[in-house]
Amino acid sequence: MTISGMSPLAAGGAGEMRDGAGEELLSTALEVHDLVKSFNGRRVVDGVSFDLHRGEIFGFLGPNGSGKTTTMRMALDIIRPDSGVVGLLGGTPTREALRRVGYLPEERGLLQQARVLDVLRYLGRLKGLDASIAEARVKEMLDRVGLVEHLNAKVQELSRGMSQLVQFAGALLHEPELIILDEPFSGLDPLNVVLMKDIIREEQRRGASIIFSTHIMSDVEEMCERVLLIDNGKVLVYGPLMELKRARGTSTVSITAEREPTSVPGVTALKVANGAYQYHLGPGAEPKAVLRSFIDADIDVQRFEVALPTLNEIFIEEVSRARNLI
Amino acid sequence: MRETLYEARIVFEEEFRRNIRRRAWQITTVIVPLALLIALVAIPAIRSITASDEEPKPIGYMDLSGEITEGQFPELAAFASLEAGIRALVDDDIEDFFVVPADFLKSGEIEWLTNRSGIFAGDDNRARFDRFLTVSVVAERLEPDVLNRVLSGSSFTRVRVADDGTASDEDTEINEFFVPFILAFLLMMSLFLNSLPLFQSVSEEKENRMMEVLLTSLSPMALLAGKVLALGISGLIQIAAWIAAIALLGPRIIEQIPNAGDLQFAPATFPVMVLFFIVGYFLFAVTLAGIGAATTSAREAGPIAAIVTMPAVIPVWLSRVILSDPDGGLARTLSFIPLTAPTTMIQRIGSGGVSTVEMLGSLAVTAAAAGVMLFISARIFRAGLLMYGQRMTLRAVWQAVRQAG
Repeated sequence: MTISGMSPLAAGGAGEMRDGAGEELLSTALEVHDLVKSFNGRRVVDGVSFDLHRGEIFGFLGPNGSGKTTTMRMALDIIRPDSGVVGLLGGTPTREALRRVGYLPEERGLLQQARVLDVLRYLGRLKGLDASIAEARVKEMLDRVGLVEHLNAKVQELSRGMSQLVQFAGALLHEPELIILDEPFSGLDPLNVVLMKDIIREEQRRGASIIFSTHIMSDVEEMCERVLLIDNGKVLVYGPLMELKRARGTSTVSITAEREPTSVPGVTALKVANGAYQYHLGPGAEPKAVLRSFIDADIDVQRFEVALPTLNEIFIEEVSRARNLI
Repeated sequence: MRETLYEARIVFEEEFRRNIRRRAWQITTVIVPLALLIALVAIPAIRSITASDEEPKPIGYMDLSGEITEGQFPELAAFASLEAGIRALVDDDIEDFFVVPADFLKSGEIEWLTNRSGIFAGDDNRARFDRFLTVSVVAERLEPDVLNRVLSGSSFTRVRVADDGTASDEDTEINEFFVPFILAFLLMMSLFLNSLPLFQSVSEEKENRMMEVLLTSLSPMALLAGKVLALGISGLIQIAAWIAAIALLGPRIIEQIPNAGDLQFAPATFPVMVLFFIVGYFLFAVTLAGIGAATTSAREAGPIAAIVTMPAVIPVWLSRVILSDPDGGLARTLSFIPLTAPTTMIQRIGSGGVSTVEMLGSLAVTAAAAGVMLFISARIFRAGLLMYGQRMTLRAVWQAVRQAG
């Protein structure tokens, strides 16, 4: 579905930008090259580069204060980098290009005294929608997030989670080509997290490119094909998630059995979860050696699974290494 | 440019709609017309309540000096003895009883006996008796015309002589003092009532990060221009409602007050007032918007905003000095300081005699200052986003402005 109520200014400018862009640029929704930003002499973003493909959901990871929000703000031209280049939707981050972007900032806030309808219509109009189309889209999106009955409520009457969903709806009113979400799931109850994830997937099916930051690794594993991990403003890990996992090799073996042998060669750690023994393999250890130790001890094995490292493990390992903790 | 105008128009429409829906704006807009309507109804009603239908009771007196002649003041009753006078006072036959001692001509002392309480009770009777004494003492010594003039006093009409020698009648005190003062007061109120919401709106959007979302859709200049225009137009509507109410109802109210003179407005005052409102509002609005953007919260920005708005109040405080000498050094100096110019000039123009060159000069200085502040505030708008959690210092603002580049 496309919105037919875009203002001539918004619609016309967008077309010119697409026509003039090269094929390579058209394949990326966001391209960030060697971004650097310092505040008060401290480099908070230090040579970050990545690109977001058209139509993908991309995970942007990093500990608190690692430079994620600053990078997103530079991508949106809210703040200017000291050096580096941002390519947005096939061009530079002009206001015309930014009008085709939906943004949910980390620290959410709407005009507390305003009605939900008024503030969302305002946001829609700023993104180039005609007033009547913006109102229709507000109703549609509020219905989608289950808050249409709060259309005429004042923002201050909403709970924190509701307010977050309203702002999320506001970021999607104009059916943006690129959606940038800074910690979108924080503070939401599990039902609303599922709802938000469903909507994000719908947006992807519509053709939007989505980048979101989060601390919840399972969300990234569930939704993203590619990830970027930064710490202290520097890129630690970047690429397709499965490739990153495979590159780290097999690290965990999970065996479901009634008991465990007295000794298992080559493992560094053991965890029991859901009735299964999970062995973390040390350097050079083979998964089949673990299985053999069960068989040699005459223990019946109901399930044997060789697991790739989780994103959580990769996150902890990489950040710890970057901070010289391991 | 076309893009900025388009964005500013959207901001204007949404901000204007939101502002005129504010209860505070609606109340302050109707409060002046409403107060005048109440005054129009209340003044005759109060006068009719306070004016008694009963015939005034006579004033009693006893003359021991022999200087008092009788007959011209029928409300007076002479008593031969103190006891008789006090008895009449107790019986409510008279309201007050005055005893004129034998040495009155030398001492001027009068004993005033009354059974009423209240510090001002009987003041009117004392004044009547005082006048009666004057007439009694001099009546037989003066010609009737002279006596009449002595009693009536003199009436002054001030005539202003212009530099070219032409003379024109000055207005009465109400038009010389109260009209300029009231107009300056209303201008100051309107400046505050419409620039403070702008400041609060910017502060709130900064504090809750709404501005971060807005600035991904429009330029800082468009956001600032749309906000300033929206609140400025709503301010103009407000001030127009006030002026219309004063022009329509003011003269009728003044008619109800005895000896108040005629309320007259120089027609030129209104367009000049509107012009000074526009530049004055613009200056305060963009300055306060810049402060709102440069600080982390409305709470932090409040005291700074109070310091900036204080100069608009100073000319209203100094009204008596300015209106006593509208062409004096103080009045002229304040006319060319941008933050004090609007409320100073409206008083000077109301009292007449300000040259067109001086008026245009004051307008130009204020408008130029507003233009400079617009530039700085637009830079601070973007820079302010970098200043979350930082206390506002001039150095921090300067650094942020440079980083925003």
